[in-house]
Amino acid sequence: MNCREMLEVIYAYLDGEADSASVAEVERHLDECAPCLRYIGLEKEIKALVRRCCKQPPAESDLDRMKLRIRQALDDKG
Amino acid sequence: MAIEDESLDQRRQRFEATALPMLATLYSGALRMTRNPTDAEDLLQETYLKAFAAFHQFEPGTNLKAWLYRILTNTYINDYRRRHREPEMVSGDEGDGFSLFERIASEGSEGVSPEEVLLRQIPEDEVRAALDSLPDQFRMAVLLADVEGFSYKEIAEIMDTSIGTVMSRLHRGRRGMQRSLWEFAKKRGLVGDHEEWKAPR
Repeated sequence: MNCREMLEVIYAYLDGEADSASVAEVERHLDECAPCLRYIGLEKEIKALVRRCCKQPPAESDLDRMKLRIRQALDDKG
Repeated sequence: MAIEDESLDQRRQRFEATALPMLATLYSGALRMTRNPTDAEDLLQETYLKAFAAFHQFEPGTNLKAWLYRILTNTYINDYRRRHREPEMVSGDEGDGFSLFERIASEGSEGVSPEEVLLRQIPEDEVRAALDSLPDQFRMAVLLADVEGFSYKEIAEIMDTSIGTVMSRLHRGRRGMQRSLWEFAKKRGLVGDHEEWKAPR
C-alpha cells in the first residue's frame, strides 16, 4: 500500500469499517510512513473534537419540560 | 404478549419507558439539524408523535436509537425543512480539493505541526459552526457517524441510501469542516494568510 491507497481507505479504517486485510495493510504502511502516521493521528483528533463539541445534551430542566410537552401532545392525539 | 394484542395504554407505557428516555440523545441531533433550540424542540415533538403512531412497527430488541433517528431525519428532511422554506442544500463541491494530508506530507515529521497547534486553539462553538455550515446531507452524515457513533450500515438505513453514498458524504463533509476550521484559523491569525490548503491530487 502506498500513501494514495492509504488515503482511499483512511476513513473506513478510522471508523472501524475496514476489513481485516485492509486494516493490516494500513498498519503496515503506517509502520513505514511517518507523515501518514501523523496525518491519521490528526484525523483521529478531529473526529474526537467533533464528537466532544457537537454532542450537546439539553439541561435537565429543559429535558423535563420537553418530556412534559411530548406527553401532552400524545394525550391530545389519543 | 404479542405487540398486536397490546392496548393503546400498554403501548403508551412501553413507549414512555423505552423511547422517551432517548430524548436527550435525539435532542443533540435535532439541534445540529435545525441549528436552533426552539426549532429543535418542535422537530422533536413531531418526531415523537410520528414515532408513537408507528411504534407497533418497531421490532423490540432491534436498535431503537437508530429507528428514532430515522424518523427524526425523515421528519427534518421531508416536513420541517419544506415548511420552513429552506432552500434544498445541494451537494456542493466545497471541501473538495482540500487536504490536511498534503500539508503534513510537505512538512516532514519533526516537531508539532501547525495543524496540531491549531486544533488545540479552536473554540467549541467554532467546531459546531463548521459542522452547521455544511450542506444538509454532509452535515447529517458527519453527525450520525462522528457525534452519534452509528455504523455505515445504520447511517445508510437512517438516510435511506447506499453505504457508498454514506462514505462519500462523510468524506466530503469532513473535508468541508476541515476547510472551515482552517479559514477560521486564518481569520484569527493562528496561521499565516499566505498558507493555503493544497489540492490532494
